[in-house]
Amino acid sequence: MPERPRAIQRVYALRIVILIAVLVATFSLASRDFFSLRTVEKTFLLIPADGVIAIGVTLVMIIGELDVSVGGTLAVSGLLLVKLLPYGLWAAIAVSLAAGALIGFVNGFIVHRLKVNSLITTVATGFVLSGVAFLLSNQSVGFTNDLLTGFGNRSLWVFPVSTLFYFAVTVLIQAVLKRTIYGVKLYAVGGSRLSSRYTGISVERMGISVFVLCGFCAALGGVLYCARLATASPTFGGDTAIFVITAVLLGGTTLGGGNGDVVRTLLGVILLSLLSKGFTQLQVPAFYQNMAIGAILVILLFAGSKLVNRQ
Amino acid sequence: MSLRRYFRTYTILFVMLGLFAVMSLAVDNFFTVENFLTVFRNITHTMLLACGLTFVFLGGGFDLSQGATLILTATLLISMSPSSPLFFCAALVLVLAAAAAIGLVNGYLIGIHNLNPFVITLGIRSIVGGVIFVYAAGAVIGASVPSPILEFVGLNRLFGYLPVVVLTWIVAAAACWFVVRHTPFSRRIAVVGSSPAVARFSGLPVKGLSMSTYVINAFLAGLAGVLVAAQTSFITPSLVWYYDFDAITACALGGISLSGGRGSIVNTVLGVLFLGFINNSMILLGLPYPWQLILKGGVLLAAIITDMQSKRNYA
Repeated sequence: MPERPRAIQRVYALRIVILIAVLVATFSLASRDFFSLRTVEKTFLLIPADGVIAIGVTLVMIIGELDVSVGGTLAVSGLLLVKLLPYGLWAAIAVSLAAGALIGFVNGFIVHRLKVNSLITTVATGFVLSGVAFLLSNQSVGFTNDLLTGFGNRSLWVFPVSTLFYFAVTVLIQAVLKRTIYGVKLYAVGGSRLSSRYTGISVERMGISVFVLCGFCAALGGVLYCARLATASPTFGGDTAIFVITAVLLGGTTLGGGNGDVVRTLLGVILLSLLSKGFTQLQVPAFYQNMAIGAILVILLFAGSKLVNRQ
Repeated sequence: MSLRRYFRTYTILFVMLGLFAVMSLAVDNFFTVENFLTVFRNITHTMLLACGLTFVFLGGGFDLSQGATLILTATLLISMSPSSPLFFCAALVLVLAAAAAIGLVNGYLIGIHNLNPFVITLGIRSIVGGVIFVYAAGAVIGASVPSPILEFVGLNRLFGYLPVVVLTWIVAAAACWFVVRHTPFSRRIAVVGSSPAVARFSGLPVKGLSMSTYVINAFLAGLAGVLVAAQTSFITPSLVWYYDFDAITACALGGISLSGGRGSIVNTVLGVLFLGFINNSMILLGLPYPWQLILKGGVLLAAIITDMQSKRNYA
């Protein structure tokens, strides 16, 4: 009796990989120019900024919280970068990233020290951040810096440099999650705060550190975003939070905490990017994309719950 | 009710009275009937969304699909531009049924199948957003013929003073208040929200109760869409992320707990009014847009932090 469900569960565990394969096959059949190295490059070029932000959000979701202020952080860090560029590229990047980490610290402090619900907290800090972004500049600003825009747009064979960088960060964070004490603690706190506290883990310190990492990642995403477009704007990041959370959920990280990793998130990000690239190539109006994403999200969760219940 | 508890429950009311005092001194035309009516008109859709959300929070759920439901009913109603009374009634029933159907789907998946409300309503939001775009073919939707009834609802005032939209939300909020405060139905929902296990052992129909909160919520979101349609003759079919957050913000300002089992319409109404008056004050003071955003976020942060601290001290 356990044979059949086990097989189904094994298929379910690989659901995103299978979906990606199915989508690639479908798009290739539907459009003759789809199956090419150029498509691979174009698809990969879209993902680094959102992907890096998704890494941070994954960490926050593993500990059982949410962060919707990442869009605001993206806008602020991008504008800081452009404003400070005259003082030197590395200084500008360092300040942007430090600002992101500071924003994350404030979020983490409010959520974990003052014990406020993370969604409401980050909605509020999101308002503040988007206000700050509009204070920095009320319109989009361009810049010229060959090193930065080169990093955002140049490719090694079919892999854009920034995407390779994103893959490297993913591997690094995955190693931290799976191979270090920090990772073990993170999953423990996400699984049960109470038993983690009894085990001697400082839940508060873990919680704040995760938000700092998330803010840092969001700022890094802002830098990558600006590097690709050679522009920063206070309106950037408007739908980043919802896009990124969708990608993380598609990847299979759950909201309850204690579960998930960044490689799954990488797959979720690739899936969303592939959908958007494929639909654009087939000239399907962009709004069907929303429906497809929503339907995939609901159906996967529904199927998942049925399979878990059967066990 | 002890005095201390009374003060804690209505902190936001006292803060709001303080705001009134300061604003009346600072700006001449703040404390006027006309300005208050403007605020009351502007908060219409947030009020209905927040009242619906109160039911969902009471039952321990969550909803991100409200904004999409609102835009769907508004788009449908504007595109039909019902001119005759009979057509209007039919259109009204149709769009409200469509809204309730969205709630039914949410409720079915979340209540019956026990799936995560955040993920499901996020997915439903995308799907409904897609449906709106397909229906509108991506273009701005405008009324083909002016609808006198929609115009009456949106623009007219009863007895020369009370706008119809304001009357509508007052009636809706009063009905919600009655249900939440005075019916066993809402007590049962609260039990489900605070502990599904207890509710199940008490023999309550947990699934049905949980489902009902989403239907009520979507119905109110649909009603909000009808009023939005009445106030504007054009609608851009795009999902605005902050449509959803306004209602959540208002509930949080009013002190509604997101973890379930608690909720009061009086608090929700106070939260919405406070948000409305803050926005209005900032505009009257001529505050630049960035500072408006920063102040709004700051006020929200201050409110939730003090609320949380007072609850901890009280416990």
